[in-house]
Amino acid sequence: MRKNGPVKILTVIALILFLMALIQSRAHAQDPFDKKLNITLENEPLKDALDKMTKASGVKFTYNEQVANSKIKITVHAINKSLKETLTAAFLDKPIQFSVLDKEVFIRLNAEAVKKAEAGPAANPNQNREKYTLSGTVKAKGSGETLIAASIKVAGTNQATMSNEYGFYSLTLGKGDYVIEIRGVGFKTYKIPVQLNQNVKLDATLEEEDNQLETVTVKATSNSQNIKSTQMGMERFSIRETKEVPVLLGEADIIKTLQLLPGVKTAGEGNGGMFVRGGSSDQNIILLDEAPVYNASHLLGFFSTFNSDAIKNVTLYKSGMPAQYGGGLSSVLDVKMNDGNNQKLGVSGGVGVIAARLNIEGPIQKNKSSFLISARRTYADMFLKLSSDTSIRNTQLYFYDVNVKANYILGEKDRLFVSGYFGKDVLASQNLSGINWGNATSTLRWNHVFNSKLFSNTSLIFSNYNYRVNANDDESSLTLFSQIRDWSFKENMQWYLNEKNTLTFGLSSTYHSIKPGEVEASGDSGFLSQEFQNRFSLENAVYASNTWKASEALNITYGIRLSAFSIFGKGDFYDLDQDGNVTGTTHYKSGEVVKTYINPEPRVALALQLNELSSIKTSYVRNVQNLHLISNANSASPTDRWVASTNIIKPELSDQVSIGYYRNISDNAYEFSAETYYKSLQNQIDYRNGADIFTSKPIETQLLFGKGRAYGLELLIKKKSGRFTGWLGYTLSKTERKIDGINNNEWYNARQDKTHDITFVGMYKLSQNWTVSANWVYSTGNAITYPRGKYTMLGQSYFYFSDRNADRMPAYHRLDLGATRLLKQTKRFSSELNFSLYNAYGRKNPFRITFRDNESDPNRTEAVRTTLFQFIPSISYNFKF
Amino acid sequence: MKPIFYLILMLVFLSSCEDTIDLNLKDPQIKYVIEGAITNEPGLVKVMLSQTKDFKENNQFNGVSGAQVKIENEGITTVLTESSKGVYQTDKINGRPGVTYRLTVNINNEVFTASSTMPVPVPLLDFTLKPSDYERTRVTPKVKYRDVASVSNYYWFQQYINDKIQSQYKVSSDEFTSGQEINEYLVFENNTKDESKDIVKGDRLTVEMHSIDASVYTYLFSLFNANGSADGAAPANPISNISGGALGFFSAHTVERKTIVIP
Repeated sequence: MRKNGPVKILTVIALILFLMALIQSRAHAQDPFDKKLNITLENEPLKDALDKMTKASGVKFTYNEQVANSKIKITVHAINKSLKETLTAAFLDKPIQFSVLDKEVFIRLNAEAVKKAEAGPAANPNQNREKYTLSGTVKAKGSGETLIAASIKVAGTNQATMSNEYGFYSLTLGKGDYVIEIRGVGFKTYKIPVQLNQNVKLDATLEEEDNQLETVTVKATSNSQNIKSTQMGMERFSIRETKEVPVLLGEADIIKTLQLLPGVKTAGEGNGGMFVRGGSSDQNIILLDEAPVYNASHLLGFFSTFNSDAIKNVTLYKSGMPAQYGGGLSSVLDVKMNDGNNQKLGVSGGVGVIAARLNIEGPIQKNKSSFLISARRTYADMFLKLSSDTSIRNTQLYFYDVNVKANYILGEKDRLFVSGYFGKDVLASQNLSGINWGNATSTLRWNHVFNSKLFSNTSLIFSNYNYRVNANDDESSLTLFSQIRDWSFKENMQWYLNEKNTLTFGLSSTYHSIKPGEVEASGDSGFLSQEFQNRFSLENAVYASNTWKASEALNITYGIRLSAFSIFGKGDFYDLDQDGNVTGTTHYKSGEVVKTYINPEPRVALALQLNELSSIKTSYVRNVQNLHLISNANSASPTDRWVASTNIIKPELSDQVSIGYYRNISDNAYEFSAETYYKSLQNQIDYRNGADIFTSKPIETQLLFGKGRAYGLELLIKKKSGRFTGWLGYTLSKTERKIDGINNNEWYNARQDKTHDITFVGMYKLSQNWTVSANWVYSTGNAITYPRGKYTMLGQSYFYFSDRNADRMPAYHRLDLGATRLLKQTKRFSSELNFSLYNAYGRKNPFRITFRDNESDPNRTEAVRTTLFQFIPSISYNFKF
Repeated sequence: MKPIFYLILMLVFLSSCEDTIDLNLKDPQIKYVIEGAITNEPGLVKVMLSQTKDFKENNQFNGVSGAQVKIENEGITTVLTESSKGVYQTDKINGRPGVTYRLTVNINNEVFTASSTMPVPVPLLDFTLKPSDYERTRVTPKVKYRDVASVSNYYWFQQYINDKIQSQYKVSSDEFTSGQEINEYLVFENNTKDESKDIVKGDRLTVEMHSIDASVYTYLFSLFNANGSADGAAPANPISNISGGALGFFSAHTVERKTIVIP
């Protein structure tokens, strides 16, 4: 109990801080409606009246030309009345609406009322109205980058849509005059009147929020899309939202940031692996510009392969994955690279404790085409050269990655993108042994807008992951090479059918070839060069999904994905008995089909809006996975082996149902969500006890199969605007496995099972130049197996283990602090310094607990805790021009 | 490849630290443990019977008396006599290659059985150390032997420094080396902080090479990782060749021995 003391206190402190921040930021954001004023106006034209009210109250108004040119005249007498009362009185019986927009007041003409006034009372605006479509692309003004998930809303109504991952949107409305509001995170709201008496193409360029102005705060931009959309279990970040979160060694990392969300857990200290809702780390599909990334970590999992300079936006789906995604049981992490600035040449970069980064982007042809090159390399190995120890001096230890992208606007309707990623890790002790591994991906995409309602994206994708292990000495050498390579074609169509239905459909086809191992040996080791059989497979899928606005309050998305996984020769396939011994072998010729697994994957999601601010949602999704990472390690190892389904390894299946409640508070400044889920998993894979990972025997002989289940509750409150932003999350969950041949075939805790998990992330804008931030995480310790006795064997102590993962590591908790100092900001150049302190109170979180004989007294055994990171300070410098 | 990883992990985690902690371990489960060996060397055949004990207790051998221990081969049954607590032995068996030995242990009417076939010995050709493979804390001599192609062979190398058995041992199979002349490293290491255990001039390094059967190889291979591997795989009990629920193993194997002295 004694050990829990500090934890409880810290929990309380974190909660109090969060509450204080809430109260404080509410006090800060004084409502412009509450401003008192004295004014007298007699038949003043609208624009003059507004100007005078600004003078009297200090509150600014925002309006469009229609308002400015309006002939409406205003009369009002106000003595020490609030602005709200004044406006209400002034606009009584007038077709004018007003609402608060941050510190300003937004004035608009009520289109319907105007129409009514113009056409007289006989006109009924809801009858026989023709429908037209408003469509276009949303972009950032400064960089020309398209904006993902910007909201496009008809002011004063519920009608809204979101831009897709290429910035395209389409909204069908009745004929009429509207004011359209377009918002994106970190951008100023763009408002424009639109006369919709034909299909209108409206490309919007949003201006970046300028930090130099007094508005140092991020505005709430969600526009309550989180309430209306049927999508649940989703988190979306633009990269700028993650940059302030303090992380290990100051290297901004999206995967680390995602691990601070409820339902997403880490494998261990500093580990890049992600466990989403009880799934294992290979059950996440990680896509970089649509190309799968098979090993998303550098340096044995301490850093992710995503260089945040090159990344625009990440979306994580924990449940209810849209039908175009398939192949992973637990989650889809969709990472989109920046397109490259098509307005002006820009250079940015940074130097941190372990790595240096450089990013160059610019137009090839202004407004039409652009490129981006972003590179990063660690330089810690330079310091190893300074060591006096030759074995350390001769060690190579680095990683680098390069992102490149180019895009070209072919015309009004067509756009072409080429993107590529290449990364590599090298760990080696010179001339002796080592390992290197890396991913390469590339994507060619073509966007085509058939018409204002039909958007198409065609992709050609390549992905490759390989590793090479060397073990050399004077007399012999040994190399092991392994590779997984994909070629795929995808076609995705979005059809904004009508006001009520949006249809997504398409197909994908991927050819996987897996080279499990090629051994080259020379010298006197006696090792014979050999090659394990390659595996070939084709993964095809067709899908269709419709989002149906059943009513104002009810949205339903329903769809199906039909996947077919075919395994081809050439190769030998096996029959096994219960104990994993080979009982028969069938040889298949090249191109001959061994087996095809066809799986329908239904997906349904439903959102019921209770009122403007709250909704409940429910969803069901089935996922199928045909590529499996066979790993027995806790931390990611580059040599973990990818295998495709075979006649024996069946496709993994998951069925997940979830129900959630969502509520926005204080004018969308806070988002609260509560989600529960239950997931059942079939055909899960684990190694046999005593499995030989490096064997020429069929891999199936080393495996066991079983099932899994996971369920939990996730609570999250986010504050997205104001000086203080951040979130507080809590997860209560259970994750279990039942594998035939492990733990006497009984259910046992998966290693990543953590009953309680609390995360707090807070960022506070202290002043123009300083931003401070803090994270605090707490979770129940990993499930592990402690000995239930010891014995002597071959003169040594060994331990007896009984129930798998029936014990717990000590609870994990940690505080990280960060601060960013803006050094300089002009139009042309900006720079900042970033400080962080990882594990600020030096909690000794065990990375691993081992049991051994005491060194000084071999007659005793002891439990040894290995702790990796305590008090890790870092500093990095970033610039941009 | 594991040692490389381990080394590099340690390099990466320059800030890592180790300390001992107190854990609330659950009550021990009592299991019988059998360690038995028959070799082709003349002398005693020993079978040790013990029980698991609590983690917090000392490491003394927890022998169990009063068992009936028998070994049967080629129709002849030999009963072993208890020489000290938990140690059963006989001088009536001279192990021979190609012979299958069957062990039966009966304690309080619980019966454990195992069998092992002594393989044909594969000669240990050489045991050598290059100067460049010597460091005070880590010495890596090489063994040389020629595998026999016609059968599957499994090898077990036990290591001694100045006749004291080391916890490190190595097992190999000829899965990738069938019929070849094999040269491979053994690691003699002082991985404690105690400098007096460093390997210095005049120390004698001894290797005992055993030809073992497949089930013993599986046991020793899985014992190797039994306490949980460096990268955090779940610990599991080694796969025993004893049926009836006892831990441990029974092996009939050959012995060859070579020694080098640190120059």
